[in-house]
Amino acid sequence: MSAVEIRRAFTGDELTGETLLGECPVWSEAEQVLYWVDIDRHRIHRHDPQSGHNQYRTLEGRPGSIALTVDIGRLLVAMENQLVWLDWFDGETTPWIDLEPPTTGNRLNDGRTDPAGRMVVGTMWPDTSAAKTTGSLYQVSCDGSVAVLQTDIGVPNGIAFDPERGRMYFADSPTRMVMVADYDTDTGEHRNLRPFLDYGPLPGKPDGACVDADGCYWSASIYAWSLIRVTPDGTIDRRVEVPVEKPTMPAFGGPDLETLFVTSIGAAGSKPSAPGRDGFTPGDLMAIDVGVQGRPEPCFAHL
Amino acid sequence: MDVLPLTGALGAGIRSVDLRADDLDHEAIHHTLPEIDADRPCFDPAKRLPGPAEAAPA
Repeated sequence: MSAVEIRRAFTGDELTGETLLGECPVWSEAEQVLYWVDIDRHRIHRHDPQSGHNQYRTLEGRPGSIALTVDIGRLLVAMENQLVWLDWFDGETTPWIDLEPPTTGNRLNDGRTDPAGRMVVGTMWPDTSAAKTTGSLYQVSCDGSVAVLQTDIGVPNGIAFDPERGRMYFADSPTRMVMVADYDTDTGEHRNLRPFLDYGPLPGKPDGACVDADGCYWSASIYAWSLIRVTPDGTIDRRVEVPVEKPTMPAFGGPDLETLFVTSIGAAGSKPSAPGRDGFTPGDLMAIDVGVQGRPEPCFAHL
Repeated sequence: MDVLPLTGALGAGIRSVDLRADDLDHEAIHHTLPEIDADRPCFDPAKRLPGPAEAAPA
């Protein structure tokens, strides 16, 4: 057994309020900052680890996930039922595509950019205690065309890509199963959807995820105070304990992509979070030195 | 829409448990990988929705 150092990169205070539902950390190599969202506070945060400087912007709706673009400070935001463009510097949002009619009542949740610059993003019924499976998984190309990859989803999470092995990972959290599919980066087609990791005997549920430079899948084990690392053949080879009960999603960042940033849930949800350990607060953004390098986050390729 | 600058690297951090492969209870976490299903597509091209340009009236 060894140890890792975990730092607190952001915590809410009297000025900002505590983080309610932290999700979707994304490292911008161009800006050397980490963007992440607080879904229930309708916020997108921007963390500069060099300066320790944190900023946020408040949107009109709940941002489930974000994608970088080639333009500095321009983000594609999956918000409520639609994709919108956000200009970080002036704070203006511009609607782009409605992925579902607003009347469905769903909201957008986990999303990732594939290696070719498409965004894969899922929808869900906002009240997870209702156990509805009204969500779908969408693939949005740069020309604005949309493919429905999967339907009847409860809580879409764990989307991550391994370009070397031509894989896409996906987890419908309530099923406690991480799935993998063969993913053709050129065409966007995915085939052979199959189980990759069964959380059955493991504590917690699979939440957000990322793939490191070795092709290993880092899964946030929500409700289980931990992250697990799974090798490409499905073997768990590490388990890192974190000081909050509900870690939600990891992403590698920092100058050499060697810092694992992890978001977490604060007061959101139907089940209150357990108090944090060692001075940490539920909802904190954590930075962990895991001694592993990540992969650069692709940019959404917009025509 | 607001933007609020905050400052401060927060604390020196804590040391936490990092269980490596040799430490993990592989019996407890054992799981089996099912056989790969037939070579079936999981994306139905018929479900592809038009992009804004395609959907726009002529």
